[in-house]
Amino acid sequence: MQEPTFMILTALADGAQHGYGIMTEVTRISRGRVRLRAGTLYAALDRLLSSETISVDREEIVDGRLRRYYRLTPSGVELLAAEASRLSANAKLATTRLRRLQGGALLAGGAA
Amino acid sequence: MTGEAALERRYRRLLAWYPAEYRHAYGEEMIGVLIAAASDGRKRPGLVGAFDLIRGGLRARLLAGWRTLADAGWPDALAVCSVAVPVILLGYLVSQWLFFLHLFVGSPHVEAGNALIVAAIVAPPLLALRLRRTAALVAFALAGWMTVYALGGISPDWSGYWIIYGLPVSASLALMLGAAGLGLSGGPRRAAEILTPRSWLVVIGAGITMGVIHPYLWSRPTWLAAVLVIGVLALVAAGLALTIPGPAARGLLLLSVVPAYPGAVWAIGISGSYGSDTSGFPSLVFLPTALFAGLAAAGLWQWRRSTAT
Repeated sequence: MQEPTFMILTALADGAQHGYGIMTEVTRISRGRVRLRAGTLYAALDRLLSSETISVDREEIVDGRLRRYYRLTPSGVELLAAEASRLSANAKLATTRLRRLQGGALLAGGAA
Repeated sequence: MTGEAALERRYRRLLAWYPAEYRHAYGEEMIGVLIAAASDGRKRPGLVGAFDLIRGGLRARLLAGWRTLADAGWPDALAVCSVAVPVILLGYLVSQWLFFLHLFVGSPHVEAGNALIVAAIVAPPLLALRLRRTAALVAFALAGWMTVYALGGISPDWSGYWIIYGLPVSASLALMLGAAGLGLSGGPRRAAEILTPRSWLVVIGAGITMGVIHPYLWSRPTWLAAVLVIGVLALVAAGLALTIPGPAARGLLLLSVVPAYPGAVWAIGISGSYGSDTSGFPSLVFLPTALFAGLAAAGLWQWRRSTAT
C-alpha cells in the first residue's frame, strides 16, 4: 500500500470526512510530511471507492458547494488493520536490530 | 470578477483534462476542495497544483480507456470472428478459384490447390459445431501455414532491406483470430446466438462483396487493391459493431485492428513516396508499431499500479 493511501485510510479511521477534511487531516497526522493535492486525493478516493475500501457516507451543500463525506467500509477497516500490523511488525523488527547494533557498537567502543 | 470567481474559472478549465464521467462524479466536489485549499486572494492555480490536476486528468483518461478495454466482450467478439473471418475469406477465395479456373483451364493442380484452400477455410467452423477443440487445432494449423506463406514472402531488396508484404500478413492474422475464436470462445454456436439477422446480412454481404470485387482488384495497382480490401473490411467491422450488442461490438472493433494494421500500413507505404523506394518500409511499419506497443505498455503499467491500491 502506498503511503498516501495509508494516510487517507488512517484519516478516515477517526470517522467520516469530506475531501478537504481528509487533506488537512493527512497533513496534520503526518506532521506536514505528506501533503495531498486535489488531483492525487481524488485519484486515490476513486480507486478506493472502486475497490469498496471506502464508501460515501453522506452529502451536504455548504456555502453553495458540494461536500461528500467518505467513510471506511468493513473491508477497508480490515485492510488498514492488516497494513498497520505489517508496518508495526516491520518497525519492531528494525528497532530490535538497531538496538542490537547500537548495543554492539557501545560494547566495542567500551572495549577500545 | 472577484478573485475567487477567477480562480474557480481557471480550476474548471484545468478539470477539462479529466474525462466527462469523472468530472460528473467528482468535478463540483473537487472545485470546492480546490477553492478551500487555495490561500486567500489567490487568482491563479499554483504551478504544482495545476500539474497535479493535469497529471490526474491524464491518468483518469488512461484508466477510463483501460476499463473500456477490460469491459469489452472479448469472448463474444472472438465468437463472431470465428464465423465472420471464414465467410469473408471464403467469398474472396471462391472468386479467386473461379477466376483461375477461367484463366487456367486444364491445370488440375491449380484447381486442386485452390479447392484445398477453400475446404481448409470452411472445414474448421463446420467441424466446430460438433468438435470445437479439434476445429480450433485445425484452424490454428491453417493459420500457421498461412503465416509461413506470408513470412516466406519476406526477401531482401536490392539495398539489403527486408520487405514484408502486408496483405498476406493481414490474412494470416485474420485466420489466427478466427482460430482463436474457435479455441477461446463458444465459437459458431455462440456467434449464432449473438448475430442478429442484420449482422448475418453484413457478414454474408461482405463475403459476396469480396468475391465480386476480386476480379476488379486483379487488374488494379497493388496499393489500390489493398485500400479497397481494407475499406470493405472497415465497413464490415462498422456494420457488425452497429448490429450486435455493445460490449461485443467494442471488442470486435478493437480486434479488427489486429489484421487491418499491417495491411493498412503497407498500403499507405506503397501508395506514398515509398512506392518505388521500398527502403523506407521498415521505419514506416516499425515506428507506429513501436508507438502502439509503447502506449499499450504504459496502459498496462498504469493499470497494475492502480490495482496495487
